[in-house]
Amino acid sequence: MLIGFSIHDLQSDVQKREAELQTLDEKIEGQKQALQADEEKKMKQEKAIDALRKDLQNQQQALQVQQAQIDKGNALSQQLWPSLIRDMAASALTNERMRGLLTDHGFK
Amino acid sequence: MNTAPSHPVPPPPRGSSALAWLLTVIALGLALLSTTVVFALDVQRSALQARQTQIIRTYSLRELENKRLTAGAATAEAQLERLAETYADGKSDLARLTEVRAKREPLVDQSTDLQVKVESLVVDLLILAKSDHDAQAIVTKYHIHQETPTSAPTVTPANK
Repeated sequence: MLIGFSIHDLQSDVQKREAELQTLDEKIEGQKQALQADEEKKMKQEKAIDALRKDLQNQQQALQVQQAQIDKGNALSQQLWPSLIRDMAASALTNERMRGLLTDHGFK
Repeated sequence: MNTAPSHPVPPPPRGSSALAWLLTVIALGLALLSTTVVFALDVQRSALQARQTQIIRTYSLRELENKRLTAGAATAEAQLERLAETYADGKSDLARLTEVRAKREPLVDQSTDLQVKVESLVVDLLILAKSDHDAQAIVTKYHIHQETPTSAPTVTPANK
């Protein structure tokens, strides 16, 4: 009788533990799938960041080209252009052809 | 050939002790049955205990795996958050650069217009300089020259 009860208790315990183990296995399986999904998300995000970095590099290069163009214009307008026009205008006071050239280019 | 019975039950007695013999046989049978049942239960108990031990060991290993996966999930989540922040920062930087570029576009246009204007004036000045001393003096002063017939003239101010 005692052995019978002992076995019954043991059987109950084993069944309970098997159920707990199965629950844990299911939880682990779920976690593995979630991790796999996270890994895929991570790869996708990293790809998007790489593409964004390329866009940023292109935009920065375009800005540098733009800046060089602006600097060139600034140098012309602040240094050469006023001085050149001033000299040509001074010459135009006594030089008809120089005056004509300036007029052709919109200086009156 | 030995024909004697091998069981421990003694041969049936004659006369009045037949009942006692029968009871003895039943008692022995019950004892044998009981021993067999106890043995079978013991085997079953051993098997169950072995299974219990195996489950406990497996559960313990699975718990370790579960902890490792939980930690891995937390790490992955933190990494995803960091990547999302990096992406958002990058997007913001790109929007800022695009805006700056668009704002500078009128300056670039102005600069290009001025360069075209200077180039056109200087080309005519070079032509005039071939037959005009004043124009030649200005060309010399500003080091204006055309390297090839198709290239744009270059200008370097000699003195400001």
